Parts: sequence; structure tokens; C-alpha cells
Amino acid sequence: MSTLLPTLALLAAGLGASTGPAPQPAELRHLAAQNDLLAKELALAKGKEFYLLADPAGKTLKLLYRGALLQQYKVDGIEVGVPQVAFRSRVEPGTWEGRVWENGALDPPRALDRIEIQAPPPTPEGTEIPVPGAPAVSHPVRGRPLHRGPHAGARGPARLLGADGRVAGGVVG
Amino acid sequence: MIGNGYPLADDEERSPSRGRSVTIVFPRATGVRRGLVLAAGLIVAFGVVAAVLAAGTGYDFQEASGTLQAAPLDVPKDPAAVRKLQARLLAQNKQLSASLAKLAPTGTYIVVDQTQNRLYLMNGTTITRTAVCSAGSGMVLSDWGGKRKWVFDTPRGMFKVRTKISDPIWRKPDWEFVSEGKPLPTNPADRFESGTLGKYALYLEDGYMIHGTLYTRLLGRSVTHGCIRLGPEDLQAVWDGAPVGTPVYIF
Repeated sequence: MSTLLPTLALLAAGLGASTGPAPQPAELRHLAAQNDLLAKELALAKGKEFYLLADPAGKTLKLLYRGALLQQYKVDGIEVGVPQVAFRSRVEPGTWEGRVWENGALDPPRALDRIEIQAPPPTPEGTEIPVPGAPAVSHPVRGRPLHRGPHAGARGPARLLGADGRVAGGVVG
Repeated sequence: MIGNGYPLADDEERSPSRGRSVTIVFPRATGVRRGLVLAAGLIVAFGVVAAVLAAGTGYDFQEASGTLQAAPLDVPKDPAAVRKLQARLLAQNKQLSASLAKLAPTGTYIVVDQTQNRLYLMNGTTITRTAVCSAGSGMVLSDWGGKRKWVFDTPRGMFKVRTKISDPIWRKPDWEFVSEGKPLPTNPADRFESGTLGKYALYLEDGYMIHGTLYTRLLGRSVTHGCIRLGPEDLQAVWDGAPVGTPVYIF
């Protein structure tokens, strides 16, 4: 009897699903949009590049690699760009929402200040060459106050706003 | 000497060129030429307007609300067909979510943030330990003859802990001798040094490791030749918590 009860419950649930009220079109369209988003995220997760997921509702920007969450940044806001033609909107702004960033990159790319060292001529005793000190942890990294990322397949860039116009860094978890 | 001895016309200019006289003659604009210039100007202006219309005049930024927009979808009228569509979408959703969850690491993994010089020991999405580390300096070393060059970067991407070695012995690479201005040793034994890597080394690949350091005061700075350095307590925690095969994500 005890094994029969879950089976009956499952049957009842199945019957209920097939005979209950049909879902609203809006509900299905929302589900389809969710699937589109999941499919895009899966394509990014299967790729060999780092990628970012922007969550405007949660006000977070997540850095991921192959599906692994590496870092979560808190942002004050995420804005999407609507292309303008002769100062008139080309598309409805609503279509921007719920998109996954693709091929995200900093614009302009972060400049790397590399220090080049020329080795002294070899001698049996050796020569100590002065190596410039690396910047301290608190050393400020120069960057743009506003981060703007182009995303392929979209109609314009998205930009992130942090406190004082900077993207606020956070840690996963 | 400037000029050729003859009086200049109204639309002539002269300029010196290596001591010789050069006369530049600007032709007088005729009615036909004026028309051509005007037409060319109009074409250019039209091109600029067309380019602006095609490329737009920039972007107007608006706050993203985060509400998922409904996808364009043809919903049938027949309730049975609607239910069938719903079942298909739900199955697709389940399959996509499962595929995504399968890619994400579930157990222990290590995340290294090179910009902040931090190492995170993770369990699922929970940080079990945060450690100050040191990553590659990004410096470039050239040898005396300029024939060889080394770039001291920590690679980015996903790696795995391949081997774990207790009391590791460092085999000094060529760059260590070059940077010290010493000749490369002929005796291979001269390359080995103990104590430099700390108590443990977790080998990733291509000679890159997570290991200890004698220079703990430099932790938190990008000073290494590409390896990840940790302090003794954090190294012990990573050694205890990360078995062979642990994924290591470096960014």
C-alpha cells in the first residue's frame, strides 16, 4: 500500500497537467525567453573564453569560465545603449533586457606596463641587477570610471556603473 | 633666389626649394569648374548625411530593469497543442539547466585572482579560505646576447592539480642563472636547490606550481616568475584541502 501511494500521486499529477487550464501565451513566451538565455549561457560555458553575466535585477556582474563562477562584482547599475539615428531612437529600449554579454572586452583594452630587464654579461661570480619593485596591493590600477563592453549580436554597448562611477569589486559567495 | 625674374601673376606663389626657384601656378576657376566644385561638395555633404543615418549618432543609455522580455513565439490556439508546447519548453529548460550545472565544478576548486593577488579555496560556490598570494610579475627578461627572452606571466585559464610534492626541490631554470648574470651550469646538480619553494608544491602544468616562499613580505604583490606563491599557513590549508585533480581557475 505504501509503495502504491506515490504512484497514485504521480498519476494524479500527470492527469492534472494534461487536463488543467492551458498556460497563458505570455507564460510560454517567458519560458521560451528563459530557454534562449540558458542556451546562450551554455554556449558561453562550453567555449574557451572567460565570460561575464550581467544581472541587472541582482545588480551583479559575474565572471565565469567554463561554467565556474570565479568572481562576482557588485554594481550600482547596468545600462544598455540604444542606438540613435538623428537623435531618434532606432529600437525600443525594452529589447535590450535579459541579454547575455558576448565577447565582452574592455574598451580600450587594459594597458600592461611591462618592465623589461636586460641581463648582465655572465661572470662566474654573477652580477646582481636591480629589479624595480612591484606595485603594492593598495596600488591603484588606473582604469576608466565607466566600463563599457561591446557585445556581439546586440545593437549597442552595455555599461556598468559603480559607486562614484566605478565598478565595485566583490568576492564570490 | 626666389622667382624667375618675371612678374608674378595674381594667383601665383613662389616657394624656395634647395636654392632653386619654383613657381606654383593655381589655375583660374572658370564657370564650369565652379559648377564641378559645387557638385563635388554636394556629393560629399550627401555622403556625410547618409553615413550619419546609417551608422547613427551614438547611443542613448538607459537603465536595464532586469525583467526578462518575452521571446517571439507562435502560440497555437488549441489547448492540447499549447500543453504540448509547454511540455517541450519545460523539457528543454530542464535539459539546458542540467547541461549548465554539469559544467560547473561541484566539489573543491581553486580560484586565483591575479589582479588582486588572492587565492580562493572553494567548495561549490562557497569560499572556504581566502589567501593572499603572489602571481607573475609580467616582467620581460632578455639575456646578454639578446637571443633569448622570458616573459614572467602566470597563465590564465583552467588547470588541474597534477602532482603534490612535499619538501619540493627546485630545479632552477635557465632564466634564474641569466638574471643573476651567471653562466648556465654544466653540471645538472648545480641546478637543484631545496627550501626555496616552501614546504609543499602543487604542480599544475608546464612547470607552473602553487608553492611556498621565503619572501613572505612580498605576498600580495605580483613578483613571481609565473608560479603562485602562498604563505605557510595558507599553503598548508590548500595542501590539505585540494587533492590531486582539483580544478584550478586562474584569471
